[in-house]
Amino acid sequence: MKFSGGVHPKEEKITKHYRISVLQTPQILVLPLSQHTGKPSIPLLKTGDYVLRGQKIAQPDGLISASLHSPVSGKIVGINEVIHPTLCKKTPAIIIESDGHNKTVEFNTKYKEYFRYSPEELVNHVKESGIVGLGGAAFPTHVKLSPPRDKVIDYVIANGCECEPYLTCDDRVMQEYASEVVEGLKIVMYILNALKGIIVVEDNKIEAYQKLKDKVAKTPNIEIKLVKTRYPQGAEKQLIKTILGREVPSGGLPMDVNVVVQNVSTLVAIYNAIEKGIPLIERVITISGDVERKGNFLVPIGMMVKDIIKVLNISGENIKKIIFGGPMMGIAQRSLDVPIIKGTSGVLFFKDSLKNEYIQCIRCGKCVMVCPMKLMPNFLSLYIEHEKWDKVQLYSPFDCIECGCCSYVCVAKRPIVAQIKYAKSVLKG
Amino acid sequence: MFGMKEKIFVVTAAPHIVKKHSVRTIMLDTIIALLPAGVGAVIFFGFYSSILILVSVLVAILSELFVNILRKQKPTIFDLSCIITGLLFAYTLPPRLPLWIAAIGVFVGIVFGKQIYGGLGYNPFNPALIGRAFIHIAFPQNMGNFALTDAVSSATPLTILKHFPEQISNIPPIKNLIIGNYLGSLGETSVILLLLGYFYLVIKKHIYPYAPITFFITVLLITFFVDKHHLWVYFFSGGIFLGGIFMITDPVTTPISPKGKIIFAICCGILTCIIRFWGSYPEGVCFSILFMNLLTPLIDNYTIRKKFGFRKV
Repeated sequence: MKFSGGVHPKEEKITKHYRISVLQTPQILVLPLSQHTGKPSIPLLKTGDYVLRGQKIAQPDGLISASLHSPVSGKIVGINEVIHPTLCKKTPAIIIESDGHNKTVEFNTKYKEYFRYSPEELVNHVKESGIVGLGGAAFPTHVKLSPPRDKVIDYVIANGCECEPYLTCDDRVMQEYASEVVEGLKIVMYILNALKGIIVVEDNKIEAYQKLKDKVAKTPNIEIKLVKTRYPQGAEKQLIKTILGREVPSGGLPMDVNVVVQNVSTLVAIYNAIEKGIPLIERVITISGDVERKGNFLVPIGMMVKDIIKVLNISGENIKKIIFGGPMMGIAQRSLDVPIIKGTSGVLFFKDSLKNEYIQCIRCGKCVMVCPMKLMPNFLSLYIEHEKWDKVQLYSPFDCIECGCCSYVCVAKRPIVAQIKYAKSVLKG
Repeated sequence: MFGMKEKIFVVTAAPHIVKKHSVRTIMLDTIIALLPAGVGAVIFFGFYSSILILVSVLVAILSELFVNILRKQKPTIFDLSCIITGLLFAYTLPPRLPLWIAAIGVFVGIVFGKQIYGGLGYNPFNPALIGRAFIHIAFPQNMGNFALTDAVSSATPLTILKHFPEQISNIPPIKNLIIGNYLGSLGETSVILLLLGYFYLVIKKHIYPYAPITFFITVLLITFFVDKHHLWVYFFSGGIFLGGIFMITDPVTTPISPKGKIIFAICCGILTCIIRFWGSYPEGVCFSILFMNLLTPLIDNYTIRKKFGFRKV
């Protein structure tokens, strides 16, 4: 069953045939304490301490939080306030200077035969490994893997849609780490005691689909589905609707309809943590847009954009805009002094920046037709502009998933989704 | 290579790509959809029709500019919406209407039907219909005269059905009603040419395709029960197709949600039939749409979409 609404922007998956390559580790790494949804982590070490690659440097603060590990060996040179790429304000970060030796801790491979251990132990190990959702929202994975006792999970969906234009990191991960994706899914299914796993891939990633199909051929309880390319197919609620026909209730979570969704890259991270004991210290990102050097790269978490352009020799004379994430939901950066964090799926460089001018709504209704949450963005935009908050609430701003389809199709170029984000912050108080 | 190091980059809110269309392109597509009927008007009613259409469009543009100057704002004529108003207005006129009456009508439409409320997007009524309604009341004689020359009868099929039942034999055959070569307002006569515009707008996804269809079905059903014998005359003549395709789908003055659009179309159909069969005018499309424009905010209020994940308790 397809979800209602959605758009189909030009796909621009320019880098889909670029193999994942490893970027040279930079000298300085910046690891913000808040790389995930929830409370910032608490640092375990102080300035001047020596750390090994893979050593835990910060621990979670409360349930919805995550651990943090050093991606290199070296010295902590400071815990300072730096600009955060998605919060767009200064937040504390641990700054590590690499000694270039990459001396690594001994990874804990105790859980290699995971089925000998209880789900609780495995979830705890995932938590220790600092794994968060790598699709963009960076929700701590251990929370998703421990639903309340009354929620039975029957399906685990592996999200390989990657519906944002330009981004190809998940596509490459599925092609090059197909068996890791499948094994990661099996681990998650074991933890959640789920009956069935479904890997979902959009039909513009046929190579990834073929690779995964071969891998799951002998696994009866894992299925692979090809869906039509449409944005925002990769949004959890829309994905569940398309695959299972279930509608997550307003304000609810996928577990309310007995489903857990995990991004394919997250599954690889879970596999690495359980089978090899490697915590989340690096990830694959896509570099694309109007630059000569494009591609998919494995980078350490905390690598600065300025180091990336140095290593890749990007001149970027005419670059006006730098975006973390995809062009539909990504966040524009002011400077190059921002680090890659766990949730960064790509860095896009654009020559053009859109104009900020917009005109009054002509009520064409295109935003209403494309809204995947079936809201009425035109009225939200109108009432937010006039600050009629009681009216705004009538049109359910908190159900907005901020996919940006409304702004994308608006003929009057109104910044509808930005207005809704603003309204949410005002109404939350 | 470090040229960009100290550079400050542009920060804007997501999304960072937008669909390549604008108000102007929507309006341009609507103008394209309206063109076949205009060409038809010139073929059926002669050269004077093209002058009438051109004058209406020209006065529409000038009126819009006039208000822009009065309000000291940037010219809004480039969004092309005033051209649509001019065209739609011209299409509702009798073929031999004096030019000065047309000029007055379109001026009233643009100034008092649209700009006085703040311009495009804010007008509660369809400006073309406001202009048409104004001259309909101010110049009833001229607006009721559809004759091309003084010698022939000036009655449209609907007037014949309403006021001159003895002339029923003069009603052209259905084939002509569909092609459009019979007496009527300039752009409303040719069902085929108007349908071309409908399909163009539907393919371009500018209108909700079911609104016109709902309107047509409502009119057909009521007419069937009231006057089955002249069902097709009622259906294919008058403003059913012009209004149904281009006016009840006007984005600004009709409800937003699909459900609201359907309600709007049904009500327009009912009102059109009430005016036609029990009112004093032979045609009711114009006034029914104007009346329903008035109810658009109310319909909008009661047709808020059920959001994703909405569950009945």
